[in-house]
Amino acid sequence: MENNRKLIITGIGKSNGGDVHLAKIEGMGKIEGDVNCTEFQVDGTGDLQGSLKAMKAAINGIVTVHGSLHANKFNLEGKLKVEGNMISENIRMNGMVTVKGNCESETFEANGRMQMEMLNAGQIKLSLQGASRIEEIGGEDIQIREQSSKGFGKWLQSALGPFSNKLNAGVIEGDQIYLENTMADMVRGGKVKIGPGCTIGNVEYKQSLDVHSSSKIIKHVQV
Amino acid sequence: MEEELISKKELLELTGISYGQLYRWKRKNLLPEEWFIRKSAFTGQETFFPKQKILDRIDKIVHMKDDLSLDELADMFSPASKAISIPMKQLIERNIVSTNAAKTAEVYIGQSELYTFEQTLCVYVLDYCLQTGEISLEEGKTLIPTFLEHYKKFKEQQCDLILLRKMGVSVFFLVPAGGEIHFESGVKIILRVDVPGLIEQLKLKLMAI
Repeated sequence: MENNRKLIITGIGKSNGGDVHLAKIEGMGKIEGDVNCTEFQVDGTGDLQGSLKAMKAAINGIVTVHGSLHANKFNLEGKLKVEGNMISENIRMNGMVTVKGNCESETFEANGRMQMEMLNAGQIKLSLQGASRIEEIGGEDIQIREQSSKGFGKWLQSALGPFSNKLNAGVIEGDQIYLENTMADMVRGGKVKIGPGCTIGNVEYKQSLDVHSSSKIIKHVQV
Repeated sequence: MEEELISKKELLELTGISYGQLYRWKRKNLLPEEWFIRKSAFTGQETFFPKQKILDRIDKIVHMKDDLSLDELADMFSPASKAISIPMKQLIERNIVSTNAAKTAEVYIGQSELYTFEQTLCVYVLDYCLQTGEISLEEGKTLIPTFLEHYKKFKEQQCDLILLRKMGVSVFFLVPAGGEIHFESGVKIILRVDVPGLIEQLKLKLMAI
């Protein structure tokens, strides 16, 4: 279906959504229905009452989606909140993200603070800034690192104490796992490497387990 | 209906697949969300699966993933009807449905050369029921309109077809897959048809055309 329609909000505006080629908000926009588009772009603030479906979505600013979010390619700089599920092929995020449902993607690269029920992605690269909470993480290759802060951030961090950048997780399962500054009840995987600053309740691994001296593991078994 | 469950850990040990594969198949919708049953265990949250269903499914995926892409497999397992039309003649020639079932259904579906996936499924279900020997051709005639009228209401959800009989009177109805039902005494469940399972079979057979 060839569709050249556009939904553009500049300044402050409101729309009902619909099937469009390009949906764009510059300023403050509210969309009161579902949006189905090829390209979705927000510079500013967006409030979507329905669900979003897009081939490509780029957000610079703050967006709330009350339904679920489907985007083949997703880029975020800023703050995002999704009440439903977030499904994508390719996610890149920088900022603060809350997903009430599940987040699924082939690749997931994020920097910042995450709150999710479940993260399921092939390649997961997470740089922690602030306190994140993810109930369940699953995938092939999982890498969770602490963001090395510099300049002002470093000063701020020394004031806040060493535990400000951390991840709190229920279960982490993957083929290859590397963790830093993570607290988890259960880690299961093939090759597991626990870096500095972790507290893990239970580790089950197949091939190998490496633990940094500053990390604590209560129980570990090779299966 | 108490189903036997299997924990994720046991499942991986039994089938030899990795966590990564399991999560990828879930992402690709090869494993339906309803099968992931979260329960608290002494280690915290633990995921369980309906044992028989998941083992069958994984067995199929493992055997077919060399011939078909994951997306094609997902299409096959999904309960959604495919947007295709199939010449009825070919269905009979290929022995997908019997002439008997096709003749019976023709009266209700109308004499068209091409059948939609839903109509084909209806004939296929009828054929399956007749093959079991549990239903008569007469009963089959009530099955078709019931199925055609109500099946689409389930949309993406899966459903089972049930045939009851009490004192010689038979009743057909559709319920959400796996749902529990209870009856007064004297009612006999003659047949419970796993429609998603038949969809899977049918899609596999149609793929060969």
